[in-house]
Amino acid sequence: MHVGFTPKHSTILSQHQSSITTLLALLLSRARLPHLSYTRKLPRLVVCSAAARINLNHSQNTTAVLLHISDLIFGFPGWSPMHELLLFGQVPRSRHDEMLKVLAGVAAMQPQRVIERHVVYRPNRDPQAPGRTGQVGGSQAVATDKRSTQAQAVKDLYFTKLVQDLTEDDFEKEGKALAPGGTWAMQFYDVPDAAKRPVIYRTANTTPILQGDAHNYMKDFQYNYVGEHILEGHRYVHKNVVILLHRLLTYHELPPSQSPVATLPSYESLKPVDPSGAYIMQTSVRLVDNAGPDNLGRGQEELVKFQGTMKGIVELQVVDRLALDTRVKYNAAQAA
Amino acid sequence: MTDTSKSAFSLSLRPWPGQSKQAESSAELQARLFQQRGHFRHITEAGLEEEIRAAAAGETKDGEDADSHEGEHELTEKEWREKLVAQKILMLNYLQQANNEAMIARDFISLLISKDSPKTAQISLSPAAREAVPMGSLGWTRWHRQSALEPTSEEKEQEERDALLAQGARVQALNNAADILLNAATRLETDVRRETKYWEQVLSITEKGWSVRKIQNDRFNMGVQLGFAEASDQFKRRGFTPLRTDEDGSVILDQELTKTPHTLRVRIVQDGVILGTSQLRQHVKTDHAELEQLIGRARDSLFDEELFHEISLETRELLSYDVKMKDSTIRIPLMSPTQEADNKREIQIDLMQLSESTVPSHDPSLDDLAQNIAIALRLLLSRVHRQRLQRRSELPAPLSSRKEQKPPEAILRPLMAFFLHRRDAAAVRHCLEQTRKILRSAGLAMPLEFHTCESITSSITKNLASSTSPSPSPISTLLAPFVQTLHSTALLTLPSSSSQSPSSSTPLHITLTISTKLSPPTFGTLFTLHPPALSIPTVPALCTHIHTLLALDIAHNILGPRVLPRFRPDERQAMLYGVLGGAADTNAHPDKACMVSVALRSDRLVVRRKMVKAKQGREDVLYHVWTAEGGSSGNEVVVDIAEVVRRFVGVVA
Repeated sequence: MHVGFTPKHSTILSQHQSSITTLLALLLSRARLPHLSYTRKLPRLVVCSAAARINLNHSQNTTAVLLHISDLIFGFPGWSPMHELLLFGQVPRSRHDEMLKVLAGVAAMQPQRVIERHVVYRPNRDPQAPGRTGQVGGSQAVATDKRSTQAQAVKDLYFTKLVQDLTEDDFEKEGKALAPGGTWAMQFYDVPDAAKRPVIYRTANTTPILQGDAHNYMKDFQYNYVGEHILEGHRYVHKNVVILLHRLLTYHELPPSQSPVATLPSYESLKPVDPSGAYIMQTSVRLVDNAGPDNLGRGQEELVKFQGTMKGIVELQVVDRLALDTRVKYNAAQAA
Repeated sequence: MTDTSKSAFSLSLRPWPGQSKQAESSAELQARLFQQRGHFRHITEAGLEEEIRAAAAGETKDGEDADSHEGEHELTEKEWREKLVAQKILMLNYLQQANNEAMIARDFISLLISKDSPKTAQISLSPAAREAVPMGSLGWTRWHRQSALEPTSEEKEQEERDALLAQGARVQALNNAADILLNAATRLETDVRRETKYWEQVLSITEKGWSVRKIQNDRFNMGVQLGFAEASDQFKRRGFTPLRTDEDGSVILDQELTKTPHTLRVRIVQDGVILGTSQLRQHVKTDHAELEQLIGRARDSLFDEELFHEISLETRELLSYDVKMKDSTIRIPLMSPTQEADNKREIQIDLMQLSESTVPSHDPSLDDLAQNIAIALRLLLSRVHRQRLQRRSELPAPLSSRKEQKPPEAILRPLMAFFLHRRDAAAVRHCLEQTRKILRSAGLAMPLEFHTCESITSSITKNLASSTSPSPSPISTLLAPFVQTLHSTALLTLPSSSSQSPSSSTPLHITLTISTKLSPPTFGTLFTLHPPALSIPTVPALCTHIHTLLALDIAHNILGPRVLPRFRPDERQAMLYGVLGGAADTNAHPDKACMVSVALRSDRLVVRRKMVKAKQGREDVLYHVWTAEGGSSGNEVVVDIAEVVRRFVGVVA
């Protein structure tokens, strides 16, 4: 059993919540099961909701209770989905070093090296055809209840990422690449808001995985491994604006696999996705959930002001929101 | 009708007269007649009659037609119309030409007067002309000249005078121009000199390592960054001083540079007598100082002012530790490991102007302590600066409506924690050493081992020398153990296990951990024993507890099994019950039943033998007291506890 936190599943199995929660809390507090991995900071966690399948397995004289917990959701106190305000700019390779200096001056801090490994997962399930509601086949029942109509609405499926913080030393080291817990985090980004704003606004959530095997967790969550890449760059913080000057690197040759590579190739062998080696400058302001219009305005103002500061150095723009789409697209051929 | 012979072409633009002939006056009639028929003498009666006859014969044509028929062939209607049109066009052409010329004339006149009265000219000037020629570009004057041929002598004189005047004016103008140029040259020269001087000064400041940068919204001057980038807001603002120039190019000293610098003074005071003072910086007088010195002086002053400010804020949270602020002096009780009189001493921290005269300290040996405290405080502030940068570099918390409260920075607390820890650790150590001495005088050994927090420092310095990685900085590594919880440990081996032969089971230890932390949630020192796991907050309670444990150990593990094997130990206290002589059961000899108790205090060890059934009027108690002096004096007298007990009870070894 693996423990983590997903924002999209908070409504699952609410009717069984109390009983299963009690059971799980009991199990976890005992932590006697050898295959049970639990977070060290358990007392600080609050079980929000849980999903479990209990199989009774009768064999000969003994009855084993197999508790298969597929989905267990924890929330940190005060941990809730966040929102991000974003602007993007592009920096050619030739200007990268200059930009580092400019940003160090603007933010009055030294660049923080960031190397992240992004492992992308896709839900096992295929998305429904667009326009089709949950039910297949005609129904005479008129959906008068609002809740039942909502239940029938098409539910989007999203790509999700596991992100691991790395350093240059972690490359070409066996076992290090899959080190469980600690350095891993689960990242979820929603499609940006369609509203007309001077900046991009989207829901984002990063959940640090404190302990346990992250990949197995995703697999049990019915997610399939898609691929991985390395994000390399530098981070600055200017007041509330987080500036990430980065580019994406891919492995030289990635054998088709069902799980993340165990040993990372050497850092020098990585190739930038953009052959010109250009860097992306992502500037973001994070907001808490339910931050309210005041904070939204404040964040937006700060980001736009920073955009003004960087005018003539880097043009920070609102990019097409569908370029940041994380939804799984319906593929008719695949569905058939 | 019109006389074609007449060359004058007259045209009446008036409308055709009305029909009523009666309205015509005879004069008008006559004029018309004259015009139509010519002079009266050509009009004859016969002629008129013939005319009437012709008209009666059916001549419908107009008189005009008849007239035209006379000289030329008859015109057809078409030809006549063409001719008429041609004439009309001709007429219009003439009209247009006339109009044009009139307009040109008007424009010309308007332009001519446009110099003198442009407003009037503007009214009549055509827009085309206004566009083509600028207003006031044409003028006129009237020249008076009596004779066109020879100028008179007067006129000659006038001309000569005019020429002279013109020459004079020209010379004057040239002189003016030369003066202006010369002025400009001089000004440029002074400017260059001034700029050179200014930039030389700026360069020398830069070469000394100060960061010089442009001032926003000021194109001409530079400023020097003398403060710290991570200082709190009010001090950060003061940390940047503009370098403005005066008339001859030397830098005007900003207020920040010239004002008397402050410095932090740490004093050790007892009963109002200053025992030790930290070293003060040398006061550089503004008049004699170089610019760089002034900048350095301002930087130091700013740093100390910020330090004092931060400490003052922190003082408010430390009232429970008897930290007071009186007369802008912070007073902290000095917790010294050597007790008694020293406890009246206090540390006084204040911000003084460097120009103030100072009282020499009473006891120079305490100067070092004061100086060390001052250095520690400054190091801790620079640590706060580094921490601020680190905090700023981390991902900021997402925006929310919740206001974050900034707790005061920890500067005094680590320092106080260190003193507090040292005092408490010393107290514990004193207590344990004393106990060991008492036990030694009773022939018992209690090995002690101490690991104080000061001993950590030496290992760190050793590590620092070997490590080469740039982060974290050596100073952070050095300070790290002092800003966290301070730990000292004492390991005491129980007398029972230490006096046993080494072949027996592993010796029993009691680990005593002394931890001090003053950061929130605010604790003082906590003493933790293991085993049994127990936390005790005060030194006396701890000593009592350890003494109880040791007494139990002596009674139950040493006296019980080795000296009085037949005696029954009390489960809760350091007592043994048995019979004198140690031979038989308690019930068999009720009058011989006795108990042996062991009591350990901070200054003595007492062993008592008391009869359970004391005879009337007699306190049948035997006791022996061991003190620390017994073991510590030169001629060490060791009275073995086992012997004493055997004697009390009457057991032979």
